Amino acid sequence: MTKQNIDILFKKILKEYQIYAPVLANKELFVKKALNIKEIDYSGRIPLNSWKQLFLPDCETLFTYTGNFKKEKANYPKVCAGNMTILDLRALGLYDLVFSEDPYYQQRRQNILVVGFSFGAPNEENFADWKVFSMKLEENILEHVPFDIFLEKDKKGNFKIYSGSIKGQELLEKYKIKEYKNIKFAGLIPEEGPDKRMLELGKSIKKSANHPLWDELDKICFACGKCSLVCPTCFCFDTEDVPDKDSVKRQRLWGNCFYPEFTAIAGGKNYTDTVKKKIKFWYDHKFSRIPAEFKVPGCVSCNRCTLVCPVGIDIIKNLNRLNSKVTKKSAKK
Amino acid sequence: MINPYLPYQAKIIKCQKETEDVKLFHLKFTDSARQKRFHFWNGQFVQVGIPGKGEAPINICSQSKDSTKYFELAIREVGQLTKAFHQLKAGDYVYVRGPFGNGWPKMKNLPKKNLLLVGGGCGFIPLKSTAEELSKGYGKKYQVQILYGTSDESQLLFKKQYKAWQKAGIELDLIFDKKRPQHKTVQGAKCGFGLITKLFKTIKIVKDATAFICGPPIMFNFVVKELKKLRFGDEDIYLSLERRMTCGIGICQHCAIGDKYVCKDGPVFRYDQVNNLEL
Ligand SMILES: Cc1cc2nc3c(=O)[nH]c(=O)nc-3n(C[C@H](O)[C@H](O)[C@H](O)COP(=O)(O)OP(=O)(O)OC[C@H]3O[C@@H](n4cnc5c(N)ncnc54)[C@H](O)[C@@H]3O)c2cc1C
Ligand code: SF4
Ligand code: SF4
Ligand code: FES
Repeated sequence: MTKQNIDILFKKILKEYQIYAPVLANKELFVKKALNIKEIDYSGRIPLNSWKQLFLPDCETLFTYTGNFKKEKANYPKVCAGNMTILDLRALGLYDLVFSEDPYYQQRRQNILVVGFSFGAPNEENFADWKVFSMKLEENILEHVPFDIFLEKDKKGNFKIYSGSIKGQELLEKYKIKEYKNIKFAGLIPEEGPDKRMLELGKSIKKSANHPLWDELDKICFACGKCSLVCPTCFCFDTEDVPDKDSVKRQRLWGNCFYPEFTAIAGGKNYTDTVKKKIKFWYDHKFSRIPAEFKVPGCVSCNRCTLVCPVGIDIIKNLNRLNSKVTKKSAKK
Repeated sequence: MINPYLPYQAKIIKCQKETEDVKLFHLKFTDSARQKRFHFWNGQFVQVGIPGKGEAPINICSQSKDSTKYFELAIREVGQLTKAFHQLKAGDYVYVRGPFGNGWPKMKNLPKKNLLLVGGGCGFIPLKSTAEELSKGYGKKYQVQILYGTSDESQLLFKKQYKAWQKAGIELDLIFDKKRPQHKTVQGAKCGFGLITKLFKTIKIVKDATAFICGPPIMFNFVVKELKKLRFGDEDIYLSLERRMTCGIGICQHCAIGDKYVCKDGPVFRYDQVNNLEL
């Protein structure tokens, strides 16, 4: 397939769906609504903001109360998430697990067409520093990420198309694309079992309470919460009751574990009252709780948090320090 | 798909003042089918709310055997929402989700059948259903001891039941840390003056027992220390922890502690599951 074929595919998709995709703005790549398919980026780079806004909006109404709590009939728009990288698909796979019983997520998700994209292997720029998880583009990686359609671009600029769901397959058929391969999703965990590096890291974090790293971070991080804002695997939330004329809306809003009230309870006790405890709490979510519950890493190594941190805190360096055994090993490779 | 965030309307059948700042609410779901499907175990909690004011996690403190008929909540006024609860009267409505979490272990599964319940302040609320449960003959078969500390006598909860518990063979020891007791006993239960840990020095503590503890965070470490001196094993100590909560189902992250969620994996934990974490 040529780029022209892909353009035609997206043109057809655009007739049915709003397309969100990586779009270049001021030399920086952002997930944005693409008004024109020419805006869609094919560099394979990771956009600075994450895709979570599409799947888990920053504010949504759970119920309207008028004598009893009722879920509103929501009209979720048909949205195409175009050119998501493998890493972001992994984050999406995690949402699918975490929010498997969340009717809001599930209904919204049904109306989203997920189009994945890779340029060879995820490109050098994004991989240069990645010593955290063994995220090589394995042969069968596509079997372990969710998508409807996947576009694989090779070095010559030619494309291969895959379908990863019935929805994707039906769409490709409808658009008269015959040259594609079906991939059956086999869950996020690879055949050889949970990521070994992840398991080791989990153990190290558990034993890290007295590691000097936490004190060092305590001095430099100012708990601005930017890292959590851009992180695709930060999906914590608050709820808030908002009074309207004759009703009350119960809303769900993005939370941020760096903000002051996150773990505060009545009587003044706050379980994360120091910066050090906040960062540990954040790392524990990704490297202790998510792996304990789902057997997959809670960090997809996208490096967004490092890029936005105003004081240059680098998660990958930190993890390597916490897990020095792993560093030695990966250094040998 | 069941909506885990959907609260169900419940009617306040009765409410009474327990102390200056704690009220006991007797509740029933408006939808009787909902009430008939309502099953909980001692130590579990519900998210209970008022439209416009949000929700709070509150332990169910009635007995699980009555779960399909009614349930009770004892609520202490400490902030916005709990203040609003205190303004409600019989006939008013609240909105309830749950029950959530893991409660106290079932007695039949415990290797050590004697029981020591240790409650500090409002931490006594989640122990009430267990105390009641144990009054149905268990206290005659095994040794059961309750240590309950508050700041002074006026703060004692569920006073009316002390006599029945003691009659059922439960030993109840009270201790106040702010104001000396005016009498030697309250409702037949001995009272002392000092911190709850003082009881470990002044009275005989039941041996070969399982301990259930709930109270303010600083109390845990001190009580556990005393229990260790008495050779209680980590696996024989259970704690009910408190954290801020929003979802109640292990997603929102507010209640997280290390690799666990208090809402879903707790609020009751066996000590060996949390002994490397900050309680
Ligand atoms: C598992 C569990 C069981 C509980 N059982 C009882 C009980 O049986 N009786 C009782 O009186 N209290 C109980 N509490 C404490 C009770 O939930 C808080 O006192 C209540 O949430 C305070 O709400 P507020 O709006 O009045 O306080 P505010 O200080 O106005 O609350 C501000 C915010 O903090 C949150 N918050 C404050 N304190 C707590 C807290 N301790 N836990 C969770 N969120 C909090 C509130 O939800 C609110 O969002 C329990 C707490 C937990 C975690
Ligand atoms: S972005 Fe950097 S400074 Fe801000 S909270 Fe995150 S680690 Fe701390
Ligand atoms: S690298 Fe940072 S932003 Fe990316 S998933 Fe991991 S923690 Fe989140
Ligand atoms: S209350 Fe939301 S994770 Fe526990």
